[in-house]
Parts: sequence; structure tokens; C-alpha cells
Amino acid sequence: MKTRYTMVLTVLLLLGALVLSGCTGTAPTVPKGWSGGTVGGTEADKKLFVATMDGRLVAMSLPGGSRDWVAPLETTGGVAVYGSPATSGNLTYVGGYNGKIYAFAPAPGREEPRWIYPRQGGIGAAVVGGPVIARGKLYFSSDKGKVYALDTADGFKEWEVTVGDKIWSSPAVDGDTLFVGAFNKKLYALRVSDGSKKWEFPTEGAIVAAPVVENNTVYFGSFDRYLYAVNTADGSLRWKFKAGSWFWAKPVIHNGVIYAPCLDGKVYALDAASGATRAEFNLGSPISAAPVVAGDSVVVATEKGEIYTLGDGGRQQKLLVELGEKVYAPLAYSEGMVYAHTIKDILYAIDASSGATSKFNIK
Amino acid sequence: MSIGAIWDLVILSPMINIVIVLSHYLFNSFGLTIIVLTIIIRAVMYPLTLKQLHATKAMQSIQAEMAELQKKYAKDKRKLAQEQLALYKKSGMNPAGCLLPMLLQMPVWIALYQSIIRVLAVAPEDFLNLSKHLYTSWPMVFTQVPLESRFLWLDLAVPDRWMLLPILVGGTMWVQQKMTTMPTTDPKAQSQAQMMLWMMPLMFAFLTIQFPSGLALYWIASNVISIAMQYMVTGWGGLLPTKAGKRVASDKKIPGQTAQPKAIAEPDSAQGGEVDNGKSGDESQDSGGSNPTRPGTAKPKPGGGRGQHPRRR
Repeated sequence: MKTRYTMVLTVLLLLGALVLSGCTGTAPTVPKGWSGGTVGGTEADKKLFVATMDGRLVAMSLPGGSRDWVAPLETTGGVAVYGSPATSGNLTYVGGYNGKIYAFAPAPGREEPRWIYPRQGGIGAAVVGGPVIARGKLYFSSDKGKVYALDTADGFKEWEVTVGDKIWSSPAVDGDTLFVGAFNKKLYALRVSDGSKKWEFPTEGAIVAAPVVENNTVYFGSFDRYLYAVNTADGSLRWKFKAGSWFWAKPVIHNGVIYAPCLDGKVYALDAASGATRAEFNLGSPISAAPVVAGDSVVVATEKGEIYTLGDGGRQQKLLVELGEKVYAPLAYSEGMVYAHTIKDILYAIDASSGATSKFNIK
Repeated sequence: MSIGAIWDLVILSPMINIVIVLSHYLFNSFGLTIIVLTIIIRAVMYPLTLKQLHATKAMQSIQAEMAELQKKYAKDKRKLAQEQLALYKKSGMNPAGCLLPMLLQMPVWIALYQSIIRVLAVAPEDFLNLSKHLYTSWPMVFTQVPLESRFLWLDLAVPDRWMLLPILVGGTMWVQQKMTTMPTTDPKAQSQAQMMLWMMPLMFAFLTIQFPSGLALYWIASNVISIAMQYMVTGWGGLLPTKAGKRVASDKKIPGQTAQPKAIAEPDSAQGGEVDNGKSGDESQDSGGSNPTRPGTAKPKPGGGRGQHPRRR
């Protein structure tokens, strides 16, 4: 009898273990990525570059949406990509969760990367934040707390520095300074020439949101629920604003107003100079996708997949469309159209005025 | 409200917030947090666990009678089942009592697993979803995450690459199982017991290879607590060789002779565990590691255990 009950217990435990696996997938969780789109190419031949969730870089022709070019990051196995690609000249760059930076020169029939950094293996850490390009260099961060500078042409490393803890934030470059936030609750200002530290600004929470720089001020949100405005010259605090939850997405600045999306489901419109509140838009769902400026308004996507326009200096809120699919990836904008990459790996093109929506086939 | 939402509200969110707050007060050590959390959970479940241990002990105490019943009604399964139930009822035990604490721990495992992958920022998807579980009235939880994943040689977010945890999980579980395993004269039951003795530890060792070290740390801490509690109530049990165990072994060695339970007791006898050869049914209990008593004192006292052992070692 005892053994029978023990058998039952074992079966139940086994079922429990299966449930355990089923609830969250096999351990560790398999990252899937949420790359945003980046507009590049020439004025006559605009393209939108986006990384798919199965690890391919795709170039879509704009505004039509035909798929011009596609290349796998790796010939075997997928690669999760969280940051938006970066483009410069005829090269497009993307960072992989596998710890590699890929540079492609998209052209018909050419799928191989121009270069991969590092040449062999990975950097031993995941790349979550997207790369940025400035003055012929590509900057990116790793989740082992390092910031790298590479030559955009050949991918050779210019410098690398360790600034602390895990970094998931994309850096921002302004003049000769690079700004990046880290999980160790600090924002770092580094010299782009050699990565040496200019100053650091401590907060009370981890920093995942990418910073944005304007008028000698760097703006960034933290997990301590504050949005900070810090003097780029010396790292002194200009103002800070408290919200209801974490800041995950990069804010945007439009007409002197900073629009800061928050995981509390609100977008805070603040005077960029003083931090005074202009408006609070309660969109009812967390916002982790970076918004975009679309003409006279700001377009925001909630996690639930609702696309809103916020306009008139932060006084109007209009629901453009409900995609019905979660959106984590930063939005992209070009010529009246907003592009949203959903977690179902579908790219939507949304008319920023009418909300008319079409699907782009990126697979 | 969906089942997922109820789960989040009732189990997962409290677990996440408690883990974060505990970590804050435990030197930001998530490893210590898991150990303390295990102690708290086991303390909350103490009444149930105690019930389970007493059920195990009671089960051990009626093994001889059970064996006799099996022999007596070998050809009448229905009658056997009736008599077994009657015996359980008479001894005041509920076999399901053994299962409840383990069943109740399953949601804890699942919630802990989900908490670990969120609070340690294993993957961006999980970490992003953490914020909706945080209590806005507890400001500390917003700034505390992600928690420190390093503990001793471990990264608590991923399986132990040195493979020590699977061995520890399997080992502690084997000890725990062994303590509750009772020698039996029934070859079928014996083989089942042997299978169970190895199956559970191997299964959990395998799971440990797959799951984050943090969960394995919980299992180890929980197993160690179980072993200690088991020891307090029933002693080392089947972990040490006993007379009855040796007897079973020697019985098996006699060719052509089936194992005979020495303790014979009528289930409806007023004396319960009285025996006809001067050895009490409790010698069979002894084989389970609990409560060896003198002949004629077959019924174990509730709450007895280690304190009731004559120092036979």
C-alpha cells in the first residue's frame, strides 16, 4: 500500500516537474528577442532594417514593404536580437544575444556578413542593447558590464572598458561623450576617444532605458521610478521626476517636451528644461517600446499592442489602432509611417495620421 | 479572472516580493534568501509535515500486520483491501497524509522557479514582466532588483556547471527516502520500494541538471530539513541496518523457502501488535527505523521517535 502511494506521489511529482517546465519553457528561458526597425539606405532607396526573432536580418523596401534582402546572422541556429540595427553608409550592424556584432552590406545575393566581431566565438556575454554609430565608430555594451568601440569599416576593436555591472541599455553618443546606464544603478559618461570615464551619476535603481541627449542634458529613466535630467558637462542633476514604475523605454523629445513612457502604463510629458509636468497619458498597459516622433505628434505602442498618437504639446491622446499583439520593440518612423515589430514576429506599417495598417512579410 | 491571473495574484507575486524583501535584509544574498525562505516555508508547513511523519511512523508500525494480511488474503484482493482499510482506520492514519505536504510544495517550486528567472534577470523577456508583480506600496522592491545571482560557487540563475548540486539533491533525497523505506518480506513490494528509493533521487538529480541552481538550492535545504525532522520523529529509520532488515535478507537467502514475517498479529486483536514468539510487531517497526519497543508494547506513542529508541547503536 505504501509503495502504491509512493508511486502515486512520484507520478504527481513528475507531473509537477512537467508543469514546472511547461510554465516557463525549459530552463534557462530561451531568449527570443524584440528587435526594432531602423530606417536606412538612401533618399531614393529607403529601407527598413529589422532582425527577425529567428535570427535573420531583413531589409524591407520603403514605403512599399517588399522584402529586398534577407540574411541569417548564423548559418546554424537562431540568434536573439533585442536592440535595433544601426546603419551607416552601405553597412548595417546588429548585435546578437550570442555576444557578437554583425556588419552586413546588403546586396542581392550577398548574405555573408562583411565582418563579425569578435572574429571567432563571442565576447563571452550577451549583447542586449543595440549598437550606435558615431564618428566612424560603433559602440555597444555587453551584459558583463563592458562597453566596446569598434571601427565600423572592418570591425577591429578600438577599445573596451568595464564600467561595472550588467548593461542592457543602448548607449547614446553626444559630441565626444558616450552615455550608458548599467544594472549597478549608475549612468556613465565616457570619452569616446578611449572609453575613459568622465563622470558617473548614481541612482537608486538599475538602468535599462537608453538615454537621450539634448541641449547639454542627458535624460534617462531608472528602476527607482525616477526620470533624470543630468548636465552632460559635469554629471550634476538638473531635475528628476517620479513615476509609478520602472522606466524601460528610451524617451523622446519633441518641441521642448520629453515624452517618457513607463511600465506603469503612462507616458509622462514633461518640460525638458524644467521637468514640469505638461501631461500624463494613461494608456492602460505598460510601455516598453521606445516611441517615435511622427510629424507633429509622438507615437507610442503599449505592450498590449495599442498604438496611440500624443500631440498638441502633450494634450491630446488618440488611439490609432489596436494590433492585438504585444509590442516590446522600439518603433521606427519614416515619411508618415510608423513601423512596429510585434512579438509574433510580424512587422506592421501604420499610417501615423489615419491609423491605416498593413502587414509586412519579414519571414 | 483567468487561472494565470489568480496564480500571479495569490502565489507568484507574493513570492517575488517576499524574496526581494528577504534578500534586502539578508545582505543582498539571494542564496541565503532561498535557504531562509525554505526554512520559513517548512515552518509554515510544519503541522502538515508532522502529520506526514506520524503517518509514516504509523505506516511502519502496522507493517507486520499488513504483511500478515497480505499473506492471509493473498487470493482475495477485495477482502485484502477491506482489511487493509480497516487496519488504517484502526491505527488512526490516513495514507494520503503522506502526500499532502509534498503536493503543497509543488506550487512553491513552480513559483520559486518563476521568481528566480525573473528577479535574477535571466532573460530580458522574464525581467521585463517582473515589474507588474511588484507591490507599489513596497518601494524597496523596485530598486532592489535584479538580485545578486552569485552564491558560493554558483550562479543561481543557471544550472550548476560543476554538477555538485545534482549530486547533493540526489544524495539528500536518497537519504530521506531511505529513512522512510521499510523492509518487507514481499518480494514485489521490496522491488517497488527499491525502485522508488532510486527513482526519486535520480529524477530530481536530473531536474537539477536542467533547472537554475536556485531551485536546486531550495530542494537541498528542504531535503536537509526533512531529514532532520524525520530523524527527530522516527530516527534514522531504514538508513541503518536493522535486525528485521537482516532477517529479511537472511530469509531471502534460504532456497525454496519464502520469507515469513515473524511478527504475527491479528488486526482485530485487542492487543494489536502482540506477537506469538516473543518479538513484537514493533521489531518490524524497528526495521522502519522507528520505535523499537519491548514485546507487548506494540503501539507507538504519538510524537515518539528518537527519544523512544533504546540505544542499540
